[in-house]
Amino acid sequence: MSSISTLLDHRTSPDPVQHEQAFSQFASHPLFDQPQSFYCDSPYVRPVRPQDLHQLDFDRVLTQSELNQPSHLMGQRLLLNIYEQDLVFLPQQGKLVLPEFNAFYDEELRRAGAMIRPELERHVFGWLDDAVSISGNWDVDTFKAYADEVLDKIAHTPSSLVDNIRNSRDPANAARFFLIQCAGDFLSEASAMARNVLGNFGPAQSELFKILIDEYGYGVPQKKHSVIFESLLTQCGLNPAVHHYWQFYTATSLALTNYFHYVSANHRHLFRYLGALFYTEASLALVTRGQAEAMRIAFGDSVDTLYFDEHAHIDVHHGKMAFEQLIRPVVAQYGKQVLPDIIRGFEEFRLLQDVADAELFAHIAWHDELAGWQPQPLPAQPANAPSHTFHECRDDLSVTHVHGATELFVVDKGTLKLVCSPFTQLDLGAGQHVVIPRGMLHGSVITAEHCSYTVTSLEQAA
Amino acid sequence: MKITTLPLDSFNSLEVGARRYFVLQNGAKPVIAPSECPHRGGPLNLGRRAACSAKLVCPWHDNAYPIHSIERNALPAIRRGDHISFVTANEDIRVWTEMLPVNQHKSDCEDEQ
Repeated sequence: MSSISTLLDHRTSPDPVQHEQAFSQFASHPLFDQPQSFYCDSPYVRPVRPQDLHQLDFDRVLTQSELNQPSHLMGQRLLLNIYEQDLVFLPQQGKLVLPEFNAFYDEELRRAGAMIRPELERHVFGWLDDAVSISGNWDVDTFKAYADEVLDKIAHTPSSLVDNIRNSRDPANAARFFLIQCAGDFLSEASAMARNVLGNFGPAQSELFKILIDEYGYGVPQKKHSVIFESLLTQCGLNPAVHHYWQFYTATSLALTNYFHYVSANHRHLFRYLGALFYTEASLALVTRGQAEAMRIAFGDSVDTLYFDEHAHIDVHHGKMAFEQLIRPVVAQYGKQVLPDIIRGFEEFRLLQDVADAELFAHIAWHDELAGWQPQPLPAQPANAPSHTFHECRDDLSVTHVHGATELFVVDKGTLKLVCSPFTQLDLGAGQHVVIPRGMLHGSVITAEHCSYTVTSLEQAA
Repeated sequence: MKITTLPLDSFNSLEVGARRYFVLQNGAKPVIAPSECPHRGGPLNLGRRAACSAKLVCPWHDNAYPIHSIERNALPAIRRGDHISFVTANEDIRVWTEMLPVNQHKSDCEDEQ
């Protein structure tokens, strides 16, 4: 290994006390602490549940099977907050609260975020190092053959999104939940791409810039992809404000947005970025047809699917541009040494997309199950199962979160509302219960003067 | 060109047209390496590891090759979880499993002490 590689791979260990303080300082910032509502009316208010920080260990790499754990959700929420301090957000509907604006971009907060970012990235994306490896004698044509095979398979596989929405008990709300998962990314679409267009890297830079200006509507607000998406959200009865539904993003939806920031914020990962860009642009040209169909199933033929139709059209060009004008010339100029990272980015983003789809469909299925909720006798509980009882007062709000094990949630006294999505909410009274599967997003708000509830793990302790 | 995707545990040897390959573990990374030694065509797949597994020694003339230089002639491959995809020309492919000493992970560092 060359001395430069050794330096690059050398991880310095920050002072543990300083590090812990930085975690606490960032996560407990008032903008990220306890909110008044499940919905965020300011682009700077992004709750992360800092009270959970002491239970979570970010100092290790999650495995793929642990992506449903609480530290993944919190890690992704924290990371998006850190990355998006580099972007400009101003409220489009509500008033600008200047102290919030100043606080979000505060230098001290940015410094704390910068300190914890590498550990969070390793925690939530380190599993990709084990999940994907590239070997052998690749050249640009073997990669193209491989990519064509992958894309051809996508083109000829029926859309799982269409199936899941069509078969949902409530296709409109299932589609809305899907749109919410997209909103975290689409409302600031291609922001990560913009990180990569500065500097000087020759003709490839200009090609990337062309894709960026398509995404940003050539300086015409109405043509901006994010504006077209806002219009779709409004049509479908959703609020188009940035991160209004922050608490309802699944961890793996956040991972899709964060991955692009991760490989763009540090330009050491530029070649991974190019591979991921190629996958997303080329595959979107194919899957957006299904996404438009899913919208029509959910909302009828009158829904304007321009956002997805635009991508079905322009991403055919972007996919070609990403390969023929970016990847091929870059490999021709800098040699095959850059190909493993390009292929890795392609494959990593493909895997992240599959994982995010699976988590979305699992949530839709659970929401369907809850729609048919009826009071039931309590299920059997494992002996000595860990159990915690909470006592709360009216309007106390538990920010959405996930549990690392399937848990029995029983209301002992009073009433509360269990909130699993903006459209899936259960009013539970004393003696009533619900089983919350591991990794399913939910929160609660107390609707009586006092309420007690008990959460018991239904999984045997290891 | 042809893309083949197989479970990693379903084979460790393959033939593409007339050329033989074997699955060589390079840390967590599986490499589909040519079985033929570049020196006199000896069975590299039956070689032993040396230099703390960084090299592979051909059993015929004891030539030691760095794994990374063997990988330069390996089939282009992507491992995703427990599956591997590889790219070949449009030739017949035959896969099988046999005992391969190269993947027995006794530490060669210990041998050399």
